[in-house]
Amino acid sequence: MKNNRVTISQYWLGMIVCSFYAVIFTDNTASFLTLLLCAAAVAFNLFVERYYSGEMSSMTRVVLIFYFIFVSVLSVVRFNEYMFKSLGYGPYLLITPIMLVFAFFCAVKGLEPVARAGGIVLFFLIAALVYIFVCCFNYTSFTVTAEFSDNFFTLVVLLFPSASYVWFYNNIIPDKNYTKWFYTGLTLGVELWFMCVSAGERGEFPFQRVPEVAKIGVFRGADCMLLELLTVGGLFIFAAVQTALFGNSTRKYSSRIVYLLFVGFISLLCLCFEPLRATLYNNIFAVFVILVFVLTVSFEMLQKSMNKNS
Amino acid sequence: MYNSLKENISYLKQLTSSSADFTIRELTLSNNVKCAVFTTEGMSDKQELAISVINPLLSQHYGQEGDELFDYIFNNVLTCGEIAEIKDFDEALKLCMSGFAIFALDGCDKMLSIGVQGFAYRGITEPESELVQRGSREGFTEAVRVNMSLIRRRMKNPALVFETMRVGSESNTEVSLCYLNNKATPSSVSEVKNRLKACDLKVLLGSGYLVPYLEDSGKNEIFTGIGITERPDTLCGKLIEGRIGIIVDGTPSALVLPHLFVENFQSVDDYSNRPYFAAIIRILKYISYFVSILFPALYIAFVTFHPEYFPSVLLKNIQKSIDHTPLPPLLEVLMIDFVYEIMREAGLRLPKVLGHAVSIVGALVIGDCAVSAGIIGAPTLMAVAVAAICSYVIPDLYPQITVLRLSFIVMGGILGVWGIVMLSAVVLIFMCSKSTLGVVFVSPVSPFSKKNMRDVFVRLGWKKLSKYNMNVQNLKGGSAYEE
Repeated sequence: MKNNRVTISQYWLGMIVCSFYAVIFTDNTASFLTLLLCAAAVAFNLFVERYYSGEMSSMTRVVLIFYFIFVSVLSVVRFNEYMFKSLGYGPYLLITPIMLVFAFFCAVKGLEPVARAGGIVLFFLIAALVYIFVCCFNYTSFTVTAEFSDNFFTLVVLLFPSASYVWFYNNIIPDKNYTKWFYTGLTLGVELWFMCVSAGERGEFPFQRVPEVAKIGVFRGADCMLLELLTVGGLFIFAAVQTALFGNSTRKYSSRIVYLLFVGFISLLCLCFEPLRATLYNNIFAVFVILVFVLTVSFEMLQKSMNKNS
Repeated sequence: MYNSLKENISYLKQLTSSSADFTIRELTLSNNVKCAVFTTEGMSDKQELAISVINPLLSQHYGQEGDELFDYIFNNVLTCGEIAEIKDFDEALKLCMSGFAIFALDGCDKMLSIGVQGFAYRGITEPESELVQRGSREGFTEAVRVNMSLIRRRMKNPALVFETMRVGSESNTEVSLCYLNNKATPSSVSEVKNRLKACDLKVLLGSGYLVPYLEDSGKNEIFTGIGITERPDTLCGKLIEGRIGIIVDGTPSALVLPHLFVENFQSVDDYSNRPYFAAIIRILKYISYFVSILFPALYIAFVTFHPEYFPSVLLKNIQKSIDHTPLPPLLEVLMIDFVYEIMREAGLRLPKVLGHAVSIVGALVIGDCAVSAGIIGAPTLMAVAVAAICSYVIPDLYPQITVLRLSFIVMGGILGVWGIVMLSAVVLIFMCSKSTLGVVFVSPVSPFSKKNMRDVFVRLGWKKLSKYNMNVQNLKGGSAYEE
């Protein structure tokens, strides 16, 4: 079967691509946007599964292409704002073009080649991560030093949740392999550790802090971490609920509905915390992302019901 | 074919337009039956012809006629080791032009092809493009049969199969497929055969002509999934991994498919040297590849868009060189790269005795005088020179490196690092979407296969390598791969 050849990296790519959008646009609505983009990641994954099941809705593809084009334009505009900054816009130069190209070619060539490319990019990202960590680790206090690039720190904390999300979305259900649970626990532990380190740098405890306007990267990174943690933690809950209610298949339509409901709930929760403080610029993007999300889900549901009736 | 010898001779003359190199030796046997031997001048060994064919024919006493006589000559008279019966003129002419002698007997509507080939060909020499320090010095030659023997000598395995066919409607060039039938999958072998049969070339003068017909997509892509080697030992190493080799008559190289990207960084010396040294050389090649493609582009991007990344001392020097040169950095790099390509191409075509002159012209005129005159800057020249030298480390990828370097220079000059990264992503995706015979071009790196990474970035020792035999058809992501 064709799906057997699609490796875990396809979901890595989906989650990372959408999560890294938060790096670009997390200026003053970090948490809100991160969650919305996680929702977009779900839509993206739906697109993936539909594509490989051979039942992809053409309207879904059109909507996603427009979404990616819109994000491309926004990111170029955003990039120009940081064109003359002297520090810390590494990910804008590195991650933005990669994910835009990957996103575009997902629609053009399908996900499999992009997933393979994503695996190679991840290899370099992990290598960069190790290098930066080694360079910036303070061996006397066992913390990351202040010279640690803000944006690469964000990259780090986004990488592990993404990996764990993909890992157990593909492997943990229904497998009771304790090694995988251990890996996920380790991932979460590392993420928590980074959060504490970041909080220790600023003297704050992140869980008591409502996501505020982020002016510097470390702050931004903590927001992302918090919401990624919520997402990952939520996926744990989701996995347990799904296994209990729906059995072994991760591709059952009903299990995806549960997941969508969960993410939608989280999105609404964040909306209540930051109702309309975002700038008009970010609101447009946020609204568009929600629109895309709703449209893709609607099209998929419509397609499914049409297939059932036919 | 006709029963009458005269008619056969007349028809063959008509088919060959009485070409001057088409020779006919008419003989009368002891029972007054006429026969003839057709050869192509310069393609057959005259001495062998005389010893194995003419002399035995004339020294026998015959009592038979017609088909009975034909069979008697076939089984009892001719002493050559390779004789086959042929029944149509096309086959007879093709074999005659391949160096076989064609025997025709009056009163019989079939002929015999006798293997007395003796055409001149270049001797076995060291391949020029795949030089090694410790490996064999034998390379392929233009004669396909000699190449087949070079492979058979190294692979005395009954599983090694050669299948010959003719490609080119006008040239009828002999092409030989070679594979190990216990390694290559039957589906991939039949797919290659079908692609060769579907090749609509009129003339096949080199193995490179076949590459577009053998690719999966059929489009002209930057990277090719068909490898080329001039070394029989390299080909044997690839056959054992389940690949298929194609030898074309008249070309001193063999095509190998499927070809992976990581193979461009492997060489025969890696397997003769110690593993740690082989690993260093491999990593050096990978670094050289990236430097040759990206270094000039990154230089342009940082100079134009992100000068703040340079240390202050270096920035001052670069700024000084930019101030004193008339062209913008992008055009400067493009101009130097263009001049370098002209010099390289000129050096290839010039006789070797004049090669020194080209080096002197390049070094003095371009390197020294142009910088002193303020036409180009020294840092720019250095960036292009470093990239050029690095590109020679991987000669197999030189065409791709050249095209990509130019593309990256343009992108870097227009969009900076952002453009370079974007183009890198595009190139990466195109590489990842490429496959040949169902085998992904970028495997075993992606999809990642831990077992097959033993010989990618580093080369493990032979004791470990020999424990697991890689088969390219079983790589993850391939059509033959099963979980």
